[in-house]
Amino acid sequence: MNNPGTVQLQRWMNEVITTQGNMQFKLQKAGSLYHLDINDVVAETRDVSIYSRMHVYTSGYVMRLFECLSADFPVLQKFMGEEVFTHFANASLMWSPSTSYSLYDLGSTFIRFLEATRPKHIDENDEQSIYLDLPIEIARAERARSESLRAKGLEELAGSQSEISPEDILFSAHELAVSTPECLRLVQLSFPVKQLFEQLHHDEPYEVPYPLPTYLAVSRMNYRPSMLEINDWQYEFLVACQTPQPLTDAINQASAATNIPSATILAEMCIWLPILQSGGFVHIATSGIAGLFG
Amino acid sequence: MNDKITSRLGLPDLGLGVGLRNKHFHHLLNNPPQVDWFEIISENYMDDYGFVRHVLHHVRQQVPVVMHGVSMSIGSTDPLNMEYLKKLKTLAEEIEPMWVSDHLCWTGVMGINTHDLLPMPLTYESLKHVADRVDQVQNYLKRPLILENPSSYLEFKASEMPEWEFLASLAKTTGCGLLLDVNNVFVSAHNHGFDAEHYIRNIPAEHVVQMHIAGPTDYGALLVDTHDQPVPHKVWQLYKLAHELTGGVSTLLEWDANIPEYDELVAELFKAKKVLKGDMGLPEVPIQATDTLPVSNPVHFQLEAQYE
Ligand SMILES: [Fe+2]
Repeated sequence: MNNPGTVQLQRWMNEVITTQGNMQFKLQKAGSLYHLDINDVVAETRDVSIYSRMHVYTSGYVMRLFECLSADFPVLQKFMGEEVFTHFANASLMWSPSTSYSLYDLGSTFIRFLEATRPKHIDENDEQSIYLDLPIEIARAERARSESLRAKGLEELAGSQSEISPEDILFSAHELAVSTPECLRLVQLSFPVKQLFEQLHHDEPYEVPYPLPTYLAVSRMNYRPSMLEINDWQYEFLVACQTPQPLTDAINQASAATNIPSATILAEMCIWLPILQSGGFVHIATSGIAGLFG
Repeated sequence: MNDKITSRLGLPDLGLGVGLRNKHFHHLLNNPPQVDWFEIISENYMDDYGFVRHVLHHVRQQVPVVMHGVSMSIGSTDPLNMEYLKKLKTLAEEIEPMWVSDHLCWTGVMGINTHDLLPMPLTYESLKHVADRVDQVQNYLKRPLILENPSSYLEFKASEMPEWEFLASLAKTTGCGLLLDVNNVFVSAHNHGFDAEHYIRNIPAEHVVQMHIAGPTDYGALLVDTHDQPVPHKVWQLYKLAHELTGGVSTLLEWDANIPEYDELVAELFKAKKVLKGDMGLPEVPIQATDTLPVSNPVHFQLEAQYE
């Protein structure tokens, strides 16, 4: 037999590690693809079998990356329970191996896996959908939270931003300009998960919510996560703020999208805008639109 | 510190350092670092503009930082990942690390990243392949690449030379630096039945820029590189030898799973001072044993929560 080159050896070992199944199946599959037998590849030294040696890599692969998903989705894991979570996480790793330099991308693949493997024949109104869809929605909320924690936030601007008052909003709205930070995530969910999420996070007793179309805004302030369940005009307002613009224009845009009068939204803003500001959901400049960029 | 020798590729001996880990972020924001320098896992900071970057800048203002990567895959037969190298370079421009390191390994092929540090077939063909890639990376990063010997659990029949010879040739042909992980030498020596001392004596000392010390786990016939233990007696012995041969280089304690509180971590690191003084015996720490296969190269610490 010709000595196998590095290309062939690496493809073979890569296949053994990432193929699902027991060692025998892994070796069979890699062997048929790359025409190599473990006895010809792995040196026998000392009294350790070549299978035990390969096993350090094959089992290490799954366990190492499982630990990553487990660290990345602690809230989902609490909801699913360790056994179910382990099953799904391991299946996800086999379903689509990582192709990224970053471990963080394992999480987005995991969500795609949960979505792709949800049984299609059960519709949203079915009782079972709670157990199928709710974990996915928790995973999406958890992912939004971790994405928000990693994106650029408002911390560096915090000192230069003054707290907005109801008077500013009512009497100087035309001088205020709004934008959103990179760390804002707006998620449309089929369950209101915020309360459940927080209860799970703090290991408190919880009740499973009923399905209800919900908007979730996720951001952070001072590196701490913030989460708000919002209604449709609030959602439309934050969408509008993603384009930096005068506050009054953003309000008009939310009004046009929801048929709620601008004056009503402006009045609501007296309470709501300070909440958005303190949670890091919006950035407000008091010197007009130019202030957002200065 | 010993800067007179022109060894270490002219890079400084930074003293004693630890890995910057999420678990210690709050401690480090409120307390002095105590250590001389930090090593960061480069991939953990590349796309993260949140708390981890804030803490990184905070410690960087106080002490030197070294960037240690796990996904360069310098030994892979896939093309080099230029997007990755670009991000690595951008981070280096921002952080100004003392140097940039990774491992003599491959992490996957056919576009896959197993996130493991897989062993190379040690052949003349693969040596040329790796040397070409090290040249490319050094030209791109405009700085020497520092490569670490990984721990390994299998050897390829195809291999034509021992790992120390491979690393020595690689260092001499490319001018790259070496990160000598004495624990990995210890682990691989045990697993493959070679002499760890002989390995260390045959590494070109003038290329050694940094050392790693760590504690492995005894899994029956194999030792596994778990980074979750105090440094055992035998690793301290090898460390002392490597120190004598190199004349002293930056030393980093790796502890990546079951990470202790910061003070305990620093106390473990500072055992190195006593070892180097040589005025007392080496710490009598045994190797922990287990019946269940432990995970080598744990990486999940990178994703652990940074707030309570
Ligand atoms: Fe190491």
